[in-house]
Amino acid sequence: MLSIAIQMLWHKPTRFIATVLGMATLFFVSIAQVGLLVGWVNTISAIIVHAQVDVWVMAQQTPAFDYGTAIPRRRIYQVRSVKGVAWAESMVMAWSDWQRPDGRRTNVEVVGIDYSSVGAPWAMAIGRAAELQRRDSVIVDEVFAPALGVSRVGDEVELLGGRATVRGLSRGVRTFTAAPFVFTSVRSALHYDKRYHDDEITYVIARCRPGVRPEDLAEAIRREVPNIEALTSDEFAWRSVTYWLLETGMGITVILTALLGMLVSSLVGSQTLYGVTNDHLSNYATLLAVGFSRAQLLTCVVVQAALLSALAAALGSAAFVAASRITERTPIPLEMVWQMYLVVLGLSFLTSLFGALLSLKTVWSIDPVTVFR
Amino acid sequence: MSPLYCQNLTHVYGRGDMAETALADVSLEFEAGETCVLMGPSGSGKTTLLSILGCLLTPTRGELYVCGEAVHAAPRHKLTALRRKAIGFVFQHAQLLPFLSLEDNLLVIGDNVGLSRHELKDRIDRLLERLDIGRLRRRRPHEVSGGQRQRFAVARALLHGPKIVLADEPTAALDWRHGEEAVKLLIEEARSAGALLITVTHDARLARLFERELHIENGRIVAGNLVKES
Repeated sequence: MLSIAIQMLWHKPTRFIATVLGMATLFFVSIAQVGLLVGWVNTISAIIVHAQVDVWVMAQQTPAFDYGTAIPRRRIYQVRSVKGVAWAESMVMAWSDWQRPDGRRTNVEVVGIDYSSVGAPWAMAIGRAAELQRRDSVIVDEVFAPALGVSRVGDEVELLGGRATVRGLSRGVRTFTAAPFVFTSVRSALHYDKRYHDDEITYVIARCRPGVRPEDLAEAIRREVPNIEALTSDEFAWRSVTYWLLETGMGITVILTALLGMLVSSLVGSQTLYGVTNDHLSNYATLLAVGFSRAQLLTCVVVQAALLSALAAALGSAAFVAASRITERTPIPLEMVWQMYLVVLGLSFLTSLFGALLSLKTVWSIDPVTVFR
Repeated sequence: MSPLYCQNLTHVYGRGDMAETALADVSLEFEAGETCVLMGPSGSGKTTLLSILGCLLTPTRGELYVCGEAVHAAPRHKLTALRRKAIGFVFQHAQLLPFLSLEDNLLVIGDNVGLSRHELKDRIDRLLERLDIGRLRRRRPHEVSGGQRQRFAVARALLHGPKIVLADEPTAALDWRHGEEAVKLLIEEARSAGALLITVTHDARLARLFERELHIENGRIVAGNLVKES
């Protein structure tokens, strides 16, 4: 039946190729939307995930990493005194005004890193993260360097009136907001955002002693340290992701576009399949008459639907790989995790089979007597 | 055992006021290797009778036995299996699958019957040689003449060694010379295979080629022996 199914589809090659290309484009649209979503999720949670700490302590009602607000610096010592804490340091998340050498200004998110460099860029194109502790030092990402008007180590810029020297260029540190991340020390970060006092920080990041679960430590910190919120890394990453994707409505838009792509793809496939089935009604009747079972004919239609879908998915996936390579070093990367890929693939096949229902119904109702008419 | 036997076959299309009797109390018996022509005007019930004898249509009333098996009330899958194994069809316009080569048209039928590749190849080679169309096997149906297509249709009908061959107007798409040639070939091949051949045709000139002639009008057999005398 496989041979019959394939040859029947290939009988009109132009229509077959046009359909596969159309469906592949729509598969690409769907998977690109999901890739965008995965890229965003990775971007939003990147600093939290890469810091590799167990618990984040922050002001109550902090909606996302980017919108952390001030808490007293003494919270570090209070957290360190909680049983089960192996290590704790501070981090500052500030907003500032970056002035390029040519005078243009742009908003930046300033991340102040403590002495052990935890939370610093996880990949460096040039320089070392440890340089951040030098006075008025900053690291920016290579992707945003042109926008920030810098190109190499040693370039000097202004941050809210204070001078700063670029000590390195990071790789892969993107932002979900329009403001690029600028890494510096905690002390410098407090200078670059006038809303902070010297005795304030944004986060206390902590690691557990061996044998202590992050959930238990977060609970203990919540119990013992006043007026704060303590979340595990996973909880904080998820809160940041849901804030950006759901509360701002951006995620819903992307998901709807992906679903729309799949729906239109199934309609295109369905239309072609129905056309192919109708073109071959007399051949189906002949096959029935000469002893092929109805189940075999229905299998033929399902194979055709699966084949169209598989080819579209293969071409669409290849296009996605190419697109993700191209966007690798851009502010909006297309990324993918295998679980999401399987979901898209599964949904795509399901919608294709759904699109084949009309053809299946037609084949089911063929009367073999028509071969004599 | 008669390969095909029917008793009081009746078929009615529609219901109530719209009911139309296409076949009325037809009783026939055929012998293996027999060649029979079924003739009659348009709308006389030829196609309905052929459809029922070919297990494509279930009669409204009456009994039908194919190779000794009662099929008048058989489920659809049993009819499909019978068509696959016991019956070969030759259609008016050959009805070869246009997207397959002529050889592949035969291969798919043989595969479906369950013939081994080796046996299938042997049978195809033998049949195509007998029918003198071996050189055309790689071509598509539209790349050969109507007569050559019918020869492949004959090969397809006989490939799996059926006990019954049913042909519906096999000469309709051919001129007289090619039509006669195709029917002679069909008769010869069916005889050689020991299969019962029933052919429907409008062309009275072809009737002389067959051993038995049946005439049907208004759904009834009006001429020719209804039940073959032994």
